[in-house]
Amino acid sequence: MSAPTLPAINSRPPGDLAIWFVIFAELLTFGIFFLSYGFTRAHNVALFDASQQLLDRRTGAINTVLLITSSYFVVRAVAAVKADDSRAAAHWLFAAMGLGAGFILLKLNEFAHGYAAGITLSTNTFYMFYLSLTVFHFLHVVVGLLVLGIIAQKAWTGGYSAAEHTGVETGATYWHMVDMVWIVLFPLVYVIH
Amino acid sequence: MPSASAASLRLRPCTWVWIGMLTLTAFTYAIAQAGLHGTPVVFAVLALAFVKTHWVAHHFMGLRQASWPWRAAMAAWQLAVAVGLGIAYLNTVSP
Repeated sequence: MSAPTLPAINSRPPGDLAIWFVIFAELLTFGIFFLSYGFTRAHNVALFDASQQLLDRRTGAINTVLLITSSYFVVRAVAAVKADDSRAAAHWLFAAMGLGAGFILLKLNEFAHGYAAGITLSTNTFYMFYLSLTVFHFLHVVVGLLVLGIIAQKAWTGGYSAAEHTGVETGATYWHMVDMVWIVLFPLVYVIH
Repeated sequence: MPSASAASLRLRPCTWVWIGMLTLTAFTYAIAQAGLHGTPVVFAVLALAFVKTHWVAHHFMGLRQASWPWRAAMAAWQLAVAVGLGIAYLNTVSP
């Protein structure tokens, strides 16, 4: 009887080493942003709580579902590449991009409604944080979609294989980081008070 | 030996993680819609969020199979943000 096999422990996480330095730099930036929001709110509780009530939590929750599911599709794409099925990987990546585009559309709609209601960076301290955080994250989603588009195109043309898939893992890791930041941003800005 | 139908119903671990994250998101949204607030609610919602970030890091980003310094760096970020927010919200939550 053979002994049960344990998952192999690699010294490095998946993807290019450089992307992990980018990711930790991004997480550090967003982390400082989140803590700045929290401690600024502690001095303006009534203003933050009243302003937060005007946000659309339903759209925020839908956006969470879109990004989580998109991230899951990207995991399936990486698994498909490792199984030497580059075309299936491209399908998963195109589906992930579709959900990411859905996030973009809902966010643009939210920003447009806010702008029509007269909400700007100078409306009050809460909206300064709300717009800064969500627009900064929005730009990361746009960059992530471009990255997914590049690796999807390469996967479609058979550019990845079970032996060579560092590129698709690198793009996937960036997209998961974008998802991870939103997972904290949504409850922080839209829910807790 | 599992039957063919049982094998076809077996979900990948990443699929279970995805379902788990959707479930925790539903809990967060339900708490928001119910208008629940107070310190325990804030800590519960933050805990749900950081469980999800842990799942993304370990199961989606692949840190589960990386060496400990990488996992420690991610855990340090999660812990620092979670504890910092916990302190920021302590005693500043609507009654």
